[in-house]
Amino acid sequence: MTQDSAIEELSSMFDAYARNLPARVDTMEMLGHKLENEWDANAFAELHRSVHSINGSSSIYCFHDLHKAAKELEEFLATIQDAVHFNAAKTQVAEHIKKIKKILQDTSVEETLKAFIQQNTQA
Amino acid sequence: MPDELKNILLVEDEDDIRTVAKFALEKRGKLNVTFCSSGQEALQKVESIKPDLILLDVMMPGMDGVTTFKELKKIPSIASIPIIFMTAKVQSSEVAFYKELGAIDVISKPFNSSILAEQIREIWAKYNEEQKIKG
Repeated sequence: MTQDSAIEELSSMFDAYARNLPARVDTMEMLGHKLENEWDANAFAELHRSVHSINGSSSIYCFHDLHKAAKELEEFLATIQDAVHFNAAKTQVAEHIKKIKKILQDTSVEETLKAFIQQNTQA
Repeated sequence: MPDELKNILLVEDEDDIRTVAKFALEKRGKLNVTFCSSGQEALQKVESIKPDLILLDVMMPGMDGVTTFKELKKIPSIASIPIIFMTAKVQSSEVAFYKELGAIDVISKPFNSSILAEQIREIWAKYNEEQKIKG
């Protein structure tokens, strides 16, 4: 495989991932709002999975700030897995999600793509 | 144990990570890879796949990597297949924990797809040598 074709494939993978990120963060926000209004164990599990997914994948695609924020939220969610604990912490959860959304908005996709290509092409 | 590494089972819950790993191992590394998205799926399929090596993500929802590892090791026909953990947490104490558990090594995430297959082959070769010395 040539370096050029590798870069082409890596760029395509990155584009697919980056394109879906805003919708994934919106889903996270929507689940957060739902839980703010009323505790729902299934919605919480879905929120946790959604945050875990972004935590795990974002570092692979070099969204390092996003990864850091998602990791913080995933660890926080692990400590508030029932209605009582979640309700006591829902303002903090909302702040975490707001922070994640802001980080994504402020992240340069072009610079992140460059970092991703560099991470995956340097020997 | 075969001398050449050919078939790998990769257990990773994240679709977006499997995409990069597929590129790294199959396209760049010329390895045959079977992908499972959960520990449960790996346990169901592993005996029919009989991989040379298993790459196992640590942080998976449901059955996590450590539980999957322990369950895999309970299957007599699979117990001797070497397993490498993949994790974002690479503190030396954790690496030591996974090795004590029986993993042959630990690969950190994020990985570099241009060298991932080579990295795995090196670990495999070293393990093979050690096994030969042990007899």
